[in-house]
Amino acid sequence: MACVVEIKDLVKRYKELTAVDGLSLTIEEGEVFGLLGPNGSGKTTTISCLLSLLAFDEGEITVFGEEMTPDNYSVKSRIGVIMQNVAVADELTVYENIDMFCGMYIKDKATRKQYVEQAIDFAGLRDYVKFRPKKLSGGLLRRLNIACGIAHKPKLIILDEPTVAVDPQSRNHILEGIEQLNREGATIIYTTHYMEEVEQICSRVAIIDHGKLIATGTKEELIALIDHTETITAEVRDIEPSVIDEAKALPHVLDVKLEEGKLTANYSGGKHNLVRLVGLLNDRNVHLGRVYSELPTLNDVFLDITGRTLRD
Amino acid sequence: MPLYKAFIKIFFRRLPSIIAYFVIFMVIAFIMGSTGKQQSGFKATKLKVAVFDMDGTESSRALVKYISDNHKLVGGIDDREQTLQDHLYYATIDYVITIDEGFEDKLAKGEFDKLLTTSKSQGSYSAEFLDGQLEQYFRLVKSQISAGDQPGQACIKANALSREHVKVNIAEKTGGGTEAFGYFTQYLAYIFICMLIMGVAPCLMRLQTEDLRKRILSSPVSPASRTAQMSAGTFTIVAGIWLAFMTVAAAAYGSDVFSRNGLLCMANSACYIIMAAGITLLVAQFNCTDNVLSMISNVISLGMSFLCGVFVPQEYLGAGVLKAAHALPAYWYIRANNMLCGFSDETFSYGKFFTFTGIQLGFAAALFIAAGIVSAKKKR
Repeated sequence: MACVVEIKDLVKRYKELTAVDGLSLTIEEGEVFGLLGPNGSGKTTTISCLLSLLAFDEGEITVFGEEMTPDNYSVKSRIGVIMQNVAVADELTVYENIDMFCGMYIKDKATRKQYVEQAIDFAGLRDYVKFRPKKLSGGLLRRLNIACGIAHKPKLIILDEPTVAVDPQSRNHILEGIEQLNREGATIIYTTHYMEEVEQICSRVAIIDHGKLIATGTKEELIALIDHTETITAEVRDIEPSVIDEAKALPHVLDVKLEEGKLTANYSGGKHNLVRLVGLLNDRNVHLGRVYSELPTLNDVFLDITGRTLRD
Repeated sequence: MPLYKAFIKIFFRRLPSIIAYFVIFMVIAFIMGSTGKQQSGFKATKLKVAVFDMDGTESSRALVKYISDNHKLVGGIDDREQTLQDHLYYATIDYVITIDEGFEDKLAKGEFDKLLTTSKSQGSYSAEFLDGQLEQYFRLVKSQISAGDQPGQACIKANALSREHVKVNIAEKTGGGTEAFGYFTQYLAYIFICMLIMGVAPCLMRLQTEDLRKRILSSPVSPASRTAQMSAGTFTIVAGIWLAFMTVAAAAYGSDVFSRNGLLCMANSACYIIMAAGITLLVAQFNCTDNVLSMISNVISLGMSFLCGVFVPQEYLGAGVLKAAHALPAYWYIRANNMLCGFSDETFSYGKFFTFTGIQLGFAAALFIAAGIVSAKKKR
């Protein structure tokens, strides 16, 4: 697969603060690439450098095999950008806003009209074409922002936290739309601090923190980086401390802790862990509430590597 | 030209408030224009005068003839003092002249004091006017007698001389019929700034918000193209507003607008609106709300209008105010307008006209440069 974006040793400083610190990434054609990190980790700065909106101090950025510079309009014409903040003109209607942005890329009037109509349908804004942005809900406004960014059918789409402050229905609509764009051939770069979104749509993920790349790979590759493979949680009552020690002695158990009536056991591999733990608790007449098993998430990966969660 | 189109669309969304400005201005300008027109004409008034000729000489008859030529003689009135007082009180007559016996003899002797006995309405400006006329008449008689004429002949010649009106041409002082149009263009100094700041600045500001600017910079639209499209949008609207006003003026004032002074007034207003566009461009660099924009618009337009003689004629402004006003473009606009329309004593010359309009264009250039500097600083 062809490399669409290549970032080598990117460094961006704001006086004493190093916002991006030697970041290197490659993004292949057809990927949905997630850039995951907590607020202030350098995601938006990286995107701004990638789009030449910000001058960077060190490193190289190539897009579609060409060096990315502020006046490389041939590359810019193949990129669709959906900014973190909704960037539309309040006085223009939904249709006029999409038409304005599409017009920056597509000169032919008939083609543009067709593309604008398709973008309206894609974003589910057909009923709102004559509305002005102020009349739209937060979710619809985000959808308009996306329609403005993808109307010209770009080969590379960069979405910078497009679901911030969006209702669940609009969020699902947006995520499904991104998957559809990817199926139609677009390469996607998706920045977020919502781990669930990355897990849902991204084929590969880079986790960054304090401007540094912590880990990169598929979700499975990232999870394989950490020791534990399963977490079993049981709501318990009347449990003796000796039972906890017995649980710790079960096969593949990494650690066991009891907090606020919840017994949590982490495992590294093995099978039938749930059956064994429930059997032990029953034998010791411990009253059980809900019992459930969870596989590790990217948040666990982040926690394991940095010692804090993504939303800290 | 997507940004140009968006710019024009945004302007049209704001058009209702702009039209309100336009309509209010038109009403005020036409009212002021028509008032100015009425005031600019001069019409001699004729008084109702009762004359009692007690002398009955050639000289006294010539004087009666002079008075009757210029005023309306009222006859058949009793010359008793009480009757005359009643007529004056009820304004059936304005002035009573009694030519006393010995009038001609006094003239012959060169005695010009107490030639007539007069009564008039107290505080009447018209009666004062007749006093002036009689004074002027006797000066002519005196000069004829000095030249060797007999009093009777001197009075007849004075009559003839007073009928001759010397045509006085005051070089280029009056606007040659452009006074009403002059009032119209005078108030443009106020309305152009209001309309451009409230109409054009928001269009520029909307497309220059931080988020939209970044979004546009991510697109293949170059900064030069962006600036060109925004400038074209500004120019289109500025030209449109100017043309709208000039079209209405042409329809209302007809040939006055197309006279030499009328055309120069138009050119003057064109220079001023370019300067107003400069102010607008500078104001638009500061992202502010509509309320703040309205406040800025009022401060600039009203402030300049009061200081520079838009609402109050420059001749009534204090020397200190006028000195300070030299630093404001509206002063030069109004000065040119006053010169072209005869609203001041300043005589017309092309040199002055080009100086005044040149200063306005200089202000415009300075404002465009300032806007460019602010814009560049914001981008850093």
